[in-house]
Amino acid sequence: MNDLRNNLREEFNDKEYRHAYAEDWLNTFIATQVKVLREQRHLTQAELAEETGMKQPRIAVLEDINYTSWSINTLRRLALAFDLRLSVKFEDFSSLVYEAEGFGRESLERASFADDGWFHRKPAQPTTSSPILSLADSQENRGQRYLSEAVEYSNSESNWARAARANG
Amino acid sequence: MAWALYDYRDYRGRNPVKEWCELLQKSDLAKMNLRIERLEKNGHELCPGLASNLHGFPHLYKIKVNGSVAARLFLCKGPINMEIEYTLLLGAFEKDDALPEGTLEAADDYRKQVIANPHGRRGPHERPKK
Repeated sequence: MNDLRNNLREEFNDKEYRHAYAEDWLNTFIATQVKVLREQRHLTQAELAEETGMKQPRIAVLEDINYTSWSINTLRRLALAFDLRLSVKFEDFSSLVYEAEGFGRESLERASFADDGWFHRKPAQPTTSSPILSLADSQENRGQRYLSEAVEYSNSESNWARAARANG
Repeated sequence: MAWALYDYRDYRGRNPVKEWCELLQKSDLAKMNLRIERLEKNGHELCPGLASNLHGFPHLYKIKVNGSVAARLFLCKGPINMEIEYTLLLGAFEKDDALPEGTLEAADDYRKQVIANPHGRRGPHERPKK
């Protein structure tokens, strides 16, 4: 995939090229993520249509990378149906290179609030019984905390892209 | 999983897919390259609408780019190893929702040429440039 990075590094020097690529990337990303999020929740297009108050053919149109007329309002309705927040940001072009490299089903899936572990994990309980059990418990809690933090970190695209950039 | 990507080669060893892509305007080429990248990295099933089936030609797929022109790129899975390869066969421009006559037949013929002579009639994908 370093080939991709090298190609884009060269091609993005052209303003017309990089903006056309980025526009198409946005359409590709959003359409694919809508499909992936729907499948992650085991919903049919008809069921997602019902959740969003749209018709099934409309969902089919939105789940097509060739669709270009996105509106914030439509995206808000989808976010509500998926129980996710909508994030619309301006980004630098280098972040697109790393997004393109890491793009795949796993990178597009997001947990609904009900499955968002950060909100639902239990805080660590202090233990005072056996020193050995206490040590084991604290290690387990610490391990789980590190795991959760690692997941949060890996789910954050900007952190991921920054780390990747820092590593060259 | 990443896929191996090949371009059809004609009997002189030229790469008509690359030559056709390089006819595209810069913005259309950017979109075409993006789609080819997604095919190579993710296959044709993750991104909905990336490559569509064609009625009457079960082995062919179509990538479309709608920009200053309606650019269409025809490809097939395999055709040697169906699990890990795609071969880009032929590019064409659609006008009034119609392809030049014989386009799909030519693409399917190229696919058959690759099957008959995989080493001579295809080579690794070459990224088109402006």
